[in-house]
Amino acid sequence: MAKTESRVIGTPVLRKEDPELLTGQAKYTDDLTAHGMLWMHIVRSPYAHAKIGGVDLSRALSMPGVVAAFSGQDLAEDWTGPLLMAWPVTEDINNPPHWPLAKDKARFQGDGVAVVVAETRAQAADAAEMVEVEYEPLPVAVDMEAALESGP
Amino acid sequence: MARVEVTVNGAKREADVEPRTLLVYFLRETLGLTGTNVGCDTSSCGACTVLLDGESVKSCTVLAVQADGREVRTIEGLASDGELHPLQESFHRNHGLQCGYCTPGMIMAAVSYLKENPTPTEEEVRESLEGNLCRCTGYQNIVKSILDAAGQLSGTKA
Repeated sequence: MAKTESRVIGTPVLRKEDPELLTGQAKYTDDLTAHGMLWMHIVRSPYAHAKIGGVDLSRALSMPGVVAAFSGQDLAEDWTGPLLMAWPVTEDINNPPHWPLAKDKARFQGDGVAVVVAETRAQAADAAEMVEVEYEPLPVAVDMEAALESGP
Repeated sequence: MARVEVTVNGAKREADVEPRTLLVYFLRETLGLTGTNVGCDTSSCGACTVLLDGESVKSCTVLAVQADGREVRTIEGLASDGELHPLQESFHRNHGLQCGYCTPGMIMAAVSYLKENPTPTEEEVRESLEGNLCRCTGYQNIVKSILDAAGQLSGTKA
């Protein structure tokens, strides 16, 4: 067998993408802008576990620059399924459904409950503060042992 | 609106901003300098670290109006005449980055730290990075990069 030259395998190679990344010239999704682009702000649950009652978007919708606002319940009909788990490591892995926004229950502090879309970042953030969500706090599991117990 | 005048990477920049505008959004959106990234918006991750009058600050925790009349340096202003800064070189050489999102913040924090302590120990470098999070590298090569650059900069390279 001919001698294989291992010029690459086993040899560290300097990355070609580094210069852009090291000088701030790389473009990430957050760096993209487009004409007429709108901003979305997510209203998040302050509770780690809570039942979501009504979500009142009316005050948010009347704020300047606001184009649209939706609760998880509003959008649920349009969703065809939960978000996919990118890497199910084992076949028996526990894979509870993850929805883009909470519909009936917030399951962690910061779970998205509603979104507000406006013409500027500040307008979206201001209007999101006007969204009124009725929460009914539920018991929480704050350590691993409690989390392993079967749920209600 | 509030008028701010900030020297950014050596050039005077003026703009009218809402008083609540954060320095990071002034840099990214008003000036178009998107090299400074927003990772968390809560002062936790350090991706938005820039130099304010030579000292590292998290630009998501500084108002643009607080930078009025002062000097800001961002990752875009670090290389000079097409020559990478020794820290940029050493991050490249030591594989101190993968996705690169935290890198501008890491490098700016390191620029400031090495000025304060030009010959740090590994432990001191690790401590100096407690305000900067990276989800790719496990920090090993970031620490290596900074120690390597410290050697280059202080001329004590073993």
